[in-house]
Amino acid sequence: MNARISLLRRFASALMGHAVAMLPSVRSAWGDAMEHELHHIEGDLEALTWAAGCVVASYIERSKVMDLIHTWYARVFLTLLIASQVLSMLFATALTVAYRLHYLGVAAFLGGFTPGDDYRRFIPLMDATPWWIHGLWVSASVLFLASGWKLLQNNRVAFPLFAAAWVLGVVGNLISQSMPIYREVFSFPAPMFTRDYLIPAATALLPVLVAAGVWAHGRVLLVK
Amino acid sequence: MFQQPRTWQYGYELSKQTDLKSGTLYPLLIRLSDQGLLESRWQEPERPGKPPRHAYKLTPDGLAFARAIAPPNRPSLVHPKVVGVTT
Repeated sequence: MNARISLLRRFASALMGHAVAMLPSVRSAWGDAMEHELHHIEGDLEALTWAAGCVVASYIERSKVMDLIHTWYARVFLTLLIASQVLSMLFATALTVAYRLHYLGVAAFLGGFTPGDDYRRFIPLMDATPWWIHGLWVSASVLFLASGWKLLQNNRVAFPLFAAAWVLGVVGNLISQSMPIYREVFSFPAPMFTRDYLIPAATALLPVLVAAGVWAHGRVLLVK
Repeated sequence: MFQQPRTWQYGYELSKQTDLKSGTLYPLLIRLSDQGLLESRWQEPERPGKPPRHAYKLTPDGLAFARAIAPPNRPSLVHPKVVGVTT
């Protein structure tokens, strides 16, 4: 037990060292203040929480000096990433609409971006997917767009809008992926690292990174 | 700090009182200090073997600012007429 506690304390000290190192030099006295305070906290877990918070504080102070997140190009970059989420979210709906309305040229073009490069393998899935799931994705897209718009306006509402859009999108995806036909359509004879692991991981990670960026932007606005 | 303007308080105490995590508290303290609303000083620890602590209290400007933004006192839940009836 003692070993575990001392491990927590050591980890807290390491985190605090990182926080102090991250603070701009003009804030070094505040780094000392945070570090000295750590020695007066009795509980090891509480010390760890304190140190983790100090890392956040140091990042905020560092970002103020760098002020990268507040530049217009950072906002535009984040907005473009949000736009990529809109495209990702609307993709299945666009493909389904193209297929059902017999715009087969468009469907074939979109199919080129899918695993297998052929939209026809998704026909059973498109036939089985109810419209309300598309409704979820379209709603998520609208919220993503609103989030990007608010971000460009430097408005902190961007983050809750992004979070709501992300939740709607994830719910839609989870419901879709729980359908048996989904597993049939997305089963491939041979495993492929890029298709099976790299692209899904990047697809899942990107919104998390964008959310972190949008959140950090709003947080800097809050404390500035 | 507003309620005890003469008392020097430490970061950890303030965190407990305000329920703010250190990641939110320190940027706010730094901001207040930059604006001249907060003063700080190093204090020797009560217990030997511990490092000195950074202590904070509001400056007169900080107190005035706090008074200006503090919400008005909540009215008593007991209506004066009712009090009058019972006394």
